[in-house]
Amino acid sequence: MSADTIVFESVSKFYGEVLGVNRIELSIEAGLTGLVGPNGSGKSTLMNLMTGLLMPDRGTIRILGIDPGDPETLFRTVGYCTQWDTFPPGATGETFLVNTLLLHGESPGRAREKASSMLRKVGLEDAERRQIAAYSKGMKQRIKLAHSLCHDPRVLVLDEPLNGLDPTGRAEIIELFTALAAEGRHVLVSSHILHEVDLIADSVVMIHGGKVVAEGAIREVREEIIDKPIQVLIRCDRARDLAARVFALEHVVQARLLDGDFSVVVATRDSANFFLDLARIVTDDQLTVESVMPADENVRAVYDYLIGNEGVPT
Amino acid sequence: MSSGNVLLMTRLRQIRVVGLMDIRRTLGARRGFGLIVFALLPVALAVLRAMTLPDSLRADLGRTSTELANIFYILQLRFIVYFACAFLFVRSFRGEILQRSLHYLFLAPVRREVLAVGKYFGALGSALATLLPSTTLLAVIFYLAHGSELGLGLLFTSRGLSHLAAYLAATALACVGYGALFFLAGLFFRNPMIPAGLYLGFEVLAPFLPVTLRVLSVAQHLRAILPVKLSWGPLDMVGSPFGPFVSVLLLLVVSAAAIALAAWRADHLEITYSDG
Ligand SMILES: Nc1ncnc2c1ncn2[C@@H]1O[C@H](COP(=O)(O)OP(=O)(O)OP(=O)(O)O)[C@@H](O)[C@H]1O
Ligand SMILES: [Mg+2]
Repeated sequence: MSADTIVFESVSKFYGEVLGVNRIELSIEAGLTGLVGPNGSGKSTLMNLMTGLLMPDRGTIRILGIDPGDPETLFRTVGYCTQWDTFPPGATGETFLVNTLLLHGESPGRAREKASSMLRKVGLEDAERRQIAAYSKGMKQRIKLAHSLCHDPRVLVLDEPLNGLDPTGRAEIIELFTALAAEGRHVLVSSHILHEVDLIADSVVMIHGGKVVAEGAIREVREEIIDKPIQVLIRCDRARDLAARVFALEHVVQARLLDGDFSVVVATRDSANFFLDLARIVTDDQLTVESVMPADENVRAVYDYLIGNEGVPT
Repeated sequence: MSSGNVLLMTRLRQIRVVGLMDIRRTLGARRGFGLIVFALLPVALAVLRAMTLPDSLRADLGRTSTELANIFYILQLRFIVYFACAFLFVRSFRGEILQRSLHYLFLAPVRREVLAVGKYFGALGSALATLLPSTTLLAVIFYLAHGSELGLGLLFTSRGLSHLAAYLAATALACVGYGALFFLAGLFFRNPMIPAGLYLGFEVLAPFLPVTLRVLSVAQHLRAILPVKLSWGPLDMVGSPFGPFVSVLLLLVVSAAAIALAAWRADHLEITYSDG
């Protein structure tokens, strides 16, 4: 099974004291997978680990059975479009791809042929002789994609590949990804915008604070999120009274007292209504509330963050 | 062919591709201009000498050989070749890290050790391409100062040609040796001037150090293969304790060890681009 799966087993990576990712357990099948999480959640770290640019402090990673520490084997199978927008000095679109293909063992003639067909594929045929340094952001994104695709890899790792592309460009590139995934390849696409991958991905991995918070088919993940209660910590003068009142609410599943009579943790399935109800109870009972805050950083909180103000889909 | 041979051929081809890419990166499209100007400094000095040489000395060829040997050793080898190699070889990896382009090499189906060896030979190619012509010009202009007939006549005797060959060999070996050490330094130090300065200090002190440490001095080994023996009076405590053959061998062994260590280091390198 591992010969056609990307597997992370208890993988951790620290940058000195700073957490990169922690105890990642993943298994990614062929198809289009979205890797979603806010800035700094560990998406790029995860991808750099997959491609051997970083080495895990703990755990093991296998890409279709290949150890990322063996580039000679790995990069016959894997193509990686990184987050960095830098290029070898003086490179033109053409020389950049030709050099890449030479490193992949192509003859100079074949390398030129393949480079120019790849440039056509990403819509850069008119810019092949120009220096990449003078490309626009979208063009740089396209040449990076061409670089990761030019040796026809079975596994594509793409770090925010839609950044810098205009809507038409996005649509084109997304179409390319779905076509590649339909051919049975692994296409892993990261983004900090959920709905960007949510529509095209077969499955999603949601990551936050260096941890995987949800994983699976997009529909399952969404259901898991909707069903999961959120917890709110409320500090107030008469916590015991408040706990009794909120527990009577239909959507509250738990109300737990902390610190004697001064705080209560409430778990609810319906955050929007909970805050309305809370406001009503507080005024009715003349409670003095000191603070209201989320009691855990769970998948729901991440999800709410990721979809921004679009509201929770039903 | 056996699969082992195929693998070896593949890796040799990869070394060539990486090396040629590196040479183009260094010398292509006017990027090598500053380096070439630097390598031509001793030539400019030789031209100046040729123009100002008093007539009384134009016929004195015995002094020319010694003078050339001194200029070559002190200026060409220990300054020009030294700093040109520091620039080229430290930059080899460090430059790719600073320009954030190293990951493109690391994303190729090439072992890191093979990449390291390819990068080393690339930098060596750039060094030889600029420094061998510079040494040749330096020697030719030195002789030409004595008139085309007398000077060139001497150059084209077997003695003159063997001297020139020795200078070219010393230049090439200096690139091999200094190159290997700076290549290694480039994988450990952020600022190339620190190891370059430290090693220069070590080389100045090397004649006063125990033989075991002197093995690490490239200059000591090079001195043993100069065609004219240098002697600088009382300050010049000890010459090279080794004969030319042993010196060359030791220099190559030290270089190979440095490259092997650099290759090992490259294999353990992570790309974060945060430490410049
Ligand atoms: N080179 C580095 N040195 C130190 N810490 C780092 C380094 N790179 C990443 N980190 C830290 O690791 C964590 C994960 O970062 P990472 O770049 O993987 O996140 P990301 O999900 O890709 O974010 P973004 O959406 O901004 O690209 C962050 O806390 C970040 O500060
Ligand atoms: Mg990132």
